[in-house]
Amino acid sequence: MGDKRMVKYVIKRILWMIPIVLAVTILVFTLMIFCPGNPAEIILGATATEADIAAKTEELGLNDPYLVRLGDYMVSVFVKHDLGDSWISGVDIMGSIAERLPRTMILTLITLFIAFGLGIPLGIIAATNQNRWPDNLSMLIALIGVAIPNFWLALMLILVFSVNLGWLPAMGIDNGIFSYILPALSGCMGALAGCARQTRSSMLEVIRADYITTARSKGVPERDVIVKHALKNALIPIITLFGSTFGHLLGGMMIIETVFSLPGMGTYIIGAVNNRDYPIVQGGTIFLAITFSLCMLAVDLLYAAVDPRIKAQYASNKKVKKTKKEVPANA
Amino acid sequence: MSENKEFLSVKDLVVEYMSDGQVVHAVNGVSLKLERGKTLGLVGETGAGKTTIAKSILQILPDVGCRIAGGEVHLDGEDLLKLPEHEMRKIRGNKISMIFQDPMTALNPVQRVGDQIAEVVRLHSDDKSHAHCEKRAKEMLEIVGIPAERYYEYPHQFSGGMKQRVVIAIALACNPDLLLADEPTTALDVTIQAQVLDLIAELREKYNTAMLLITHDMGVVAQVCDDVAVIYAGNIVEYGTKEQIFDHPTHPYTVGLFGAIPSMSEDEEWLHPIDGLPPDPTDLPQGCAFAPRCKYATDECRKGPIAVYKTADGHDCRCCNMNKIAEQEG
Repeated sequence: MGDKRMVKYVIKRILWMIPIVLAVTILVFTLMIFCPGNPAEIILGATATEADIAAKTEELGLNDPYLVRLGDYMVSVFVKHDLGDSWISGVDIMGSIAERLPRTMILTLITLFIAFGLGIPLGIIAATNQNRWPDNLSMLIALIGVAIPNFWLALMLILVFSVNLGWLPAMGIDNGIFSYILPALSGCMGALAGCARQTRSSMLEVIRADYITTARSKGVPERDVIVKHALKNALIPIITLFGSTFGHLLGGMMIIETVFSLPGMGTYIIGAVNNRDYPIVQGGTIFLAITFSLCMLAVDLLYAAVDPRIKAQYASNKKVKKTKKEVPANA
Repeated sequence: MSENKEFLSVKDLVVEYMSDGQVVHAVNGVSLKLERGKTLGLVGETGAGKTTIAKSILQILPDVGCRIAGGEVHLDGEDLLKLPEHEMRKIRGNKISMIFQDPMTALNPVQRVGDQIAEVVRLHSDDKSHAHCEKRAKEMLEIVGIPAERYYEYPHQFSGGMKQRVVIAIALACNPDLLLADEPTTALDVTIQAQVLDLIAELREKYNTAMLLITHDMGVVAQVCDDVAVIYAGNIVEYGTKEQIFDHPTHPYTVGLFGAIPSMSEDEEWLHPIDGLPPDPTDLPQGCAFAPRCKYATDECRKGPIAVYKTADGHDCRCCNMNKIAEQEG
């Protein structure tokens, strides 16, 4: 019964993504219109004549009213699934994104994996040794992690592992998964530190709870007390952090991608912004918005998997909404 | 067997907490004895150190800033405080188990209630198979009056009384020899209180379990206990059988406690509290801890540690003016 309701909840959430993606599209399209500079000038370069520019402006449809342009764009994106071509290179945008998005996704996932794979244990060590040296050491590592700029760390890692030791490639994506190790390592420090701190504080809260004493009184070995009883209860804020870090990394990989010459979404969008290549910015943003929404849905479903109380809340979503609506009516 | 007589014996237990660089004297030399199948009531107000005593016996005190500074805890002749942690783990939940004060927070909110019972079974039974543990957990649920189908539900789907039943089921799943019940009924309403007490009594009778009952409810003591120890500021001030304490309360604190219970027969307008507050456990008075609140206190009370005296009917009382007070009060 509960599972059926969960399926309903998931479908509802996916349907909710439609207005979100539409809104993002309209917003990004509108913002781009307000950007200064005439794309026709950019496309044709400095040598173009006035007449060429006027002709190109007309050709691009830039003289049409806003609503007509928005309408044309929406139809081509959502009906024809065509994001247009790059104004600069003339390459199909959908194809470029299909090529680049997976790279950024892989990089983000590896970064998250390292950050949370190390951050959670670090936080647990800190919490279970509160105010003793392992705690201080863990938090020092976390502090350093926040303080180090990722581009500096990236250069240092390249220097050590690529230039001196020659173990890992310094740039590009020609070496499969190995190409992503250095970028992920340099990009993960901030997230790792945040994760360690969040894990520590939420573990500290949970570790003092009565049910942890209950678990100890049952004779549960200390390791199981921490992992099975405490960590599972401390996971909710960590999952929240996971979701927001995911979004943050997905949209914020441009520095790392630039340093490592990794042709992902970050460098793609940044390049497009610099060249006023509007269709790429719009298309890239729409794709990131969809990916981000899906990831948030995954986070919400993870909540339900971890905490039965939240799952019960989702399943009885109708009731929650009803009571919410009733409140202002009564007041 | 001689050890049967003294199944649990606590000697001069001292427990200290560290808080902001100050030492909190939570338990100051408590000695108790308990026979198999009997119930000892620990009575005292909040902060008197009752729960700390129970947690010290199980050694589940918080590990940060808390230590057992001295004393012995013998169970069946074995000093639990000298046992290594892995040996102690075998005793927890098995030979000694504990029922906690607040059922609302004592259960793990993200684990099925049945699994929480099955976990303790798995830890302490020889047959660690899933089927066996689940069967035993379901059996325990039925014993405490919860349908076995509710094994798969979570604590938030249970009422407070039912949660306390689950806590009791966890505590009794391995037929412990000693049950530490820390205010098992405080968080429950009166009807459920009675049910829970009956349930505990019934199960204890079945398995001949000894119980250390922590409470501040004299009514519960009268109903359940064989012996009573009155705790004040981490020390036992009066110790005897239920009849001795209830019929002849001798220590001024115990007298005050009984005086504070409103009489049902008389039309009383005011309650009769004991004046003052319990002493600051970081800064206990030199002599009798109760002296600042005691109307009989003399200079002798404030001088040094007070010895334990035998009263007329033979129970223990930690008061040097005991006889004088008895004369005065008649």
